[in-house]
Amino acid sequence: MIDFAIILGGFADALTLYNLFFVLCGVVLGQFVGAVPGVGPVTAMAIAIPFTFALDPLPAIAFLIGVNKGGLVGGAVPAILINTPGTPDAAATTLDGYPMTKNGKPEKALKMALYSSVTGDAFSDVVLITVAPLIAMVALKMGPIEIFALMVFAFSIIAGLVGDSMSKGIAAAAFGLFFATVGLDPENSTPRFIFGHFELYDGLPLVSVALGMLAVPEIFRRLSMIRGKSMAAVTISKTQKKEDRRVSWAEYWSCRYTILRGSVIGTILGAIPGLDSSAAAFMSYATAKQTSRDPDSFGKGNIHGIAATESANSAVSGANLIPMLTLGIPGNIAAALIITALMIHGVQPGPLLFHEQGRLIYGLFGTLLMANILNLFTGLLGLRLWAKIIGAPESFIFSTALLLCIVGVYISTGGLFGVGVMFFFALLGYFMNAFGYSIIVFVIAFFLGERFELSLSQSLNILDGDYAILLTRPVALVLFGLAIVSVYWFGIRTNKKKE
Amino acid sequence: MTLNRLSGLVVAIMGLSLLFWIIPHQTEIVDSGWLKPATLPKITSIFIIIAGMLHFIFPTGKAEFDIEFSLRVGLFFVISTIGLYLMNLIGFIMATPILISVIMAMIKERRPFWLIAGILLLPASIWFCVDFLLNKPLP
Amino acid sequence: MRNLLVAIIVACMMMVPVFAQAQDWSPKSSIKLQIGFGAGGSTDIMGRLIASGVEEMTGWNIVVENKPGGGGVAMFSTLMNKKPDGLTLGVGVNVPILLNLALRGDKLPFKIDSFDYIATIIKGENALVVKADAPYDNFKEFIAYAKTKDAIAVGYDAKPQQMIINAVSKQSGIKFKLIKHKSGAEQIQSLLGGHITLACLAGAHIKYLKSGDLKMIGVYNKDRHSYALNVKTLIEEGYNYYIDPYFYIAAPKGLPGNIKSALAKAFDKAIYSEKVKLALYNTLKAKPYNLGSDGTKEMMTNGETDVKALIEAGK
Repeated sequence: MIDFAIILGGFADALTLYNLFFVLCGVVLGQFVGAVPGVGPVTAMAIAIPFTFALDPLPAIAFLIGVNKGGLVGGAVPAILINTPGTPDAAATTLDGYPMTKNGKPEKALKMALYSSVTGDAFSDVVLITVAPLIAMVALKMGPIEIFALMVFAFSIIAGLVGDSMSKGIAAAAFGLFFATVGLDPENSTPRFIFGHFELYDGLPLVSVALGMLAVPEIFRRLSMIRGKSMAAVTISKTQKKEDRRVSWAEYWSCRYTILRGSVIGTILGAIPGLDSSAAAFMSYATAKQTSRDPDSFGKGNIHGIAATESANSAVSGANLIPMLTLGIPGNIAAALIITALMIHGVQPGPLLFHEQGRLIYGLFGTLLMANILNLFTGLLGLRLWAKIIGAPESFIFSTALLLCIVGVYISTGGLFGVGVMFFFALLGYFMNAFGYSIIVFVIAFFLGERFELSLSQSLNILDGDYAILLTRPVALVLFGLAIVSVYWFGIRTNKKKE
Repeated sequence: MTLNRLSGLVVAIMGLSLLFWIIPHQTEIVDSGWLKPATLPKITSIFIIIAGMLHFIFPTGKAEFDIEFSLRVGLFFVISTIGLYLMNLIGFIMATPILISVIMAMIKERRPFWLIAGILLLPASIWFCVDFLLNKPLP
Repeated sequence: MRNLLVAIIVACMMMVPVFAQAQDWSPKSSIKLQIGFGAGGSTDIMGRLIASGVEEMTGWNIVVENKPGGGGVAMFSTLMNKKPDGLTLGVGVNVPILLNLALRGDKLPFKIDSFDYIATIIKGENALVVKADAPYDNFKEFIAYAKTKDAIAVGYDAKPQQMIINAVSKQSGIKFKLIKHKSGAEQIQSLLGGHITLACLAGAHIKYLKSGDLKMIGVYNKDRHSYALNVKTLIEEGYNYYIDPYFYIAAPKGLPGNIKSALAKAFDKAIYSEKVKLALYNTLKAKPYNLGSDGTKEMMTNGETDVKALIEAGK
């Protein structure tokens, strides 16, 4: 069945200089905008789409894929250097990335982020290229009840991130879930908690909440700490040992299981269409922490923490294309934008795509792999640039970061209202942090909340009062069982161990 | 009574006000379907109340709230909010240099190079990239 | 009476520019085209396609802005207060606007006549879709089949679809399990995975008809679809309900007549240009369909009555 001429032709198309040029442009642009708080690859892709109208299909897609993949790498840069994630996906990277910077090893952290990002991405690309149709068929069998079970399981994993106070953790999660219910209710589309603001019909903008909780309070804290002459935002000592600036093969190899696990989690969550995959990084982080021999070192600059989050969030990007290319169903907004670009060029993603456009698909596969390689090299070059920029004084870096947060959220939410929401959550985030209520737990619960409520509504309506139907859903039952086990394992057992 | 313990009470009160005041006023009542608009919000608010009360009675973890530092953070917050308001009023190009100047004054940045970079070059380059190159209007 | 008055006023406003310089207006600075939805959706794509079409044909500069929220309600709430100088326009979809006006009009700042209407871009094509191997081929057979079964799961992704299914359920006495989805694409996913039996779709289905995975058993527009002329509408099957979604362009009320006609002409030309036609067909499988300035206004006014009737029927 497989026609090698088409495969070779496709890969040859991907390797033309013309095509590589657009991939490279995309990667460079993506890494740059990813590093700018608030803008993120999705906004960059939406802005870039009109520019791709004039291109042939393959370079157009190549450019967008470059932006997307570059953005995932770029988002980690400010997360590691100034504790301000560039994109919501990179939120979990702050957990261990920033402590490494404080320990004087920013370059090592950035390199580890880059390597694990590229590895996770390559993993999911290979899965996409080799077994996409198979995975897509399995993903189709995940109905609303299974998705709900998966959501419950995801919530149970949060228990591992709660920290030293279970009651505060539960409160933080409940608040996060509550804020996720703002906007139209899933079943009857009635507005909730909008206080007269029609912008809230669609819910609180993700980017406003993520940056408001995670980035802005940190910027204010850092600005408040400056008294008198401000220092460079990050000082890297000139006499630093070489081992602290690079990631050795032994270190990378020691993270192999963490990276593999992150890649698998990211690929699974990415392959299920409609699932918000921003939580993939957190789930990977939580499992890495729990399976580690030294869980207490997480959050204090453990290199495994970075490996876990970056491999997972990058693995999502390749896997998102699985339902898109095989079924025509976009896995997330980035994939929806790529579909749009394909369709503008008259290419219909979906069941007939492999048959009708085989050469383009293999060209796309080749492009994915090339984007990955270019991402690695651009990332390594970019490191030097970031290291220079971050040598500027704190006064400049943090006022820039504040302004970029404002502009980024303004662009991606389409108005100052989104910026206002960001400031509201900045206040909330500051207080929660000061009183020891986990912001991370809040943010994950918020990320998961919308899909949780929708799948709950779907499941209740499918069951329609007849709970016996559940017994015919083995996958859901297994996931519910795993959720109970993980609450015990991550929450109760860990807490007991401490006592 | 420690601040940590008190925070539980505040959380519980927030949960109560959600349950009895905000949720009834800000949701509509529907007569069909399994999941009502107010169902999940109510469940979360009950969790908030229980967790808050539990924490009030059996506090765990710790709170590190420094009033003086928080006031300074609050000041930056107020300045930025005013900056935002100004952007709405007189536009990005006019408001941003004012906002950055005030912030720079607050943290006593005196070096002319960084002052110029922050107050003039930064807003100008953002404007150039966003408004001019990308054709996306700024406020 | 009030409608008549409006009609007279509109007519008067239309008369003035005929005597003045009819088509001489061109924008002094760039036109802001606000889209009531986020980036990447079908309205967004459409708006950007039309904008680049107009730019190409007239040389005007058009800036596209996304103002998402409430299916366009957020955008139109601010658009109504903008200066009616032709430099700020909005792209929206009639259904969410009409529905919100009918359900909670007292909370919205605008009415239908808070705007001047420029054009419609396309008409959305709504279909009831099932898996290709289902043992029925049209809506009548589906209803007969459903009567022999326990509650059948039906997917929807927007309030009006829920109202139509409820109305059908009431009229036929069949109980359906209504399963809300986030988008047409997710409904197709559930349909292919066997989690729902029937899906209410608006365009996303067309490529699956070609591939033979899905089939259409009914249309819930007023008229049949050009690509599937053999499929009957619900109205023909005896269920008098329909939704005709129009994507349209509006401006704040009080647009001077010459500006309005210049805009209407420019957009009409762009909408029917070969390039836009092809792009619309490629992305949304839709044909351009412009009712013109007056026609759009009429469509909105009539739509209000029809939506109210549907709400009653779907209760």
